[in-house]
Amino acid sequence: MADAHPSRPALVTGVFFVAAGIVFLLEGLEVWDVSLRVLGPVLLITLGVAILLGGRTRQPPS
Amino acid sequence: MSTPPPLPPAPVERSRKAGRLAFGLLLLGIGVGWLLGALGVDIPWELVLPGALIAIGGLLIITARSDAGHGGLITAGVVLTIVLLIGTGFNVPLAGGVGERTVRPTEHVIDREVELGVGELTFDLTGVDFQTIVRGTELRARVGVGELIVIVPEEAPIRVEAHSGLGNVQVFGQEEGGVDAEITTPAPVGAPAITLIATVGIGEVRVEHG
Repeated sequence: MADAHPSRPALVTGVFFVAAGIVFLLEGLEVWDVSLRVLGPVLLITLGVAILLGGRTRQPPS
Repeated sequence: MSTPPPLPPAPVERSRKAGRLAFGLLLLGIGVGWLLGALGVDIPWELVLPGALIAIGGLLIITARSDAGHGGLITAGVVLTIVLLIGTGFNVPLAGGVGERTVRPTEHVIDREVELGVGELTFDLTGVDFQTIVRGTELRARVGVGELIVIVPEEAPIRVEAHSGLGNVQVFGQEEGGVDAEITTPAPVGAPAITLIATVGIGEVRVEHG
């Protein structure tokens, strides 16, 4: 039987991949031109937020 | 005494199988696309790969309620993100080919856009009659990872925009290096504005007189 509570790491990475995929898709369609100067910090910030959110599910050691 | 029927697979095992299946399908899809590309079929990787990343993200969200088995999907997503990040951030053409390539446009046949994924590309413009090129024309040469050499005739009325995401840029004796290295030279006064845009993701761009 499936767990009633969704896995937060799976949700966070799933949302991150969808968002990143949309950004790359728009870049591929030449809707905008993403520079490394912008993309690098944005991805670092997103990765940091993802790690912070994922870390909240960890149980303290007993 | 009869043997009891085998138990159905546990949810964790089923979920792992689903993750492996998705990862396997992704590799299969990329492999088939790669093969078709090698056989000359034009695959728009810049659209296919982001689509695959969105699909992986969607699968992760849909299967987040299951206990385990996200490892394969997360690994595939991370690999795709890194590939796309390199391709986008460093302006690497994902389907540009690998190896050494020399392009020599002639007076009558001018390649306005040449590219190479990984390797060395020489764009030799010495055979081009620049007086016949329409004002405002842009000539583009792009290498993902490697070296781009553009040879321009001494008298060519051309404006150069050379850029390297990470590496070195040399244009008619000027030199820049590092991250986002760029050199722009103006067209000679009174000359028709023809622009050469030479770009390398990671590596060196050299624009020299020939």
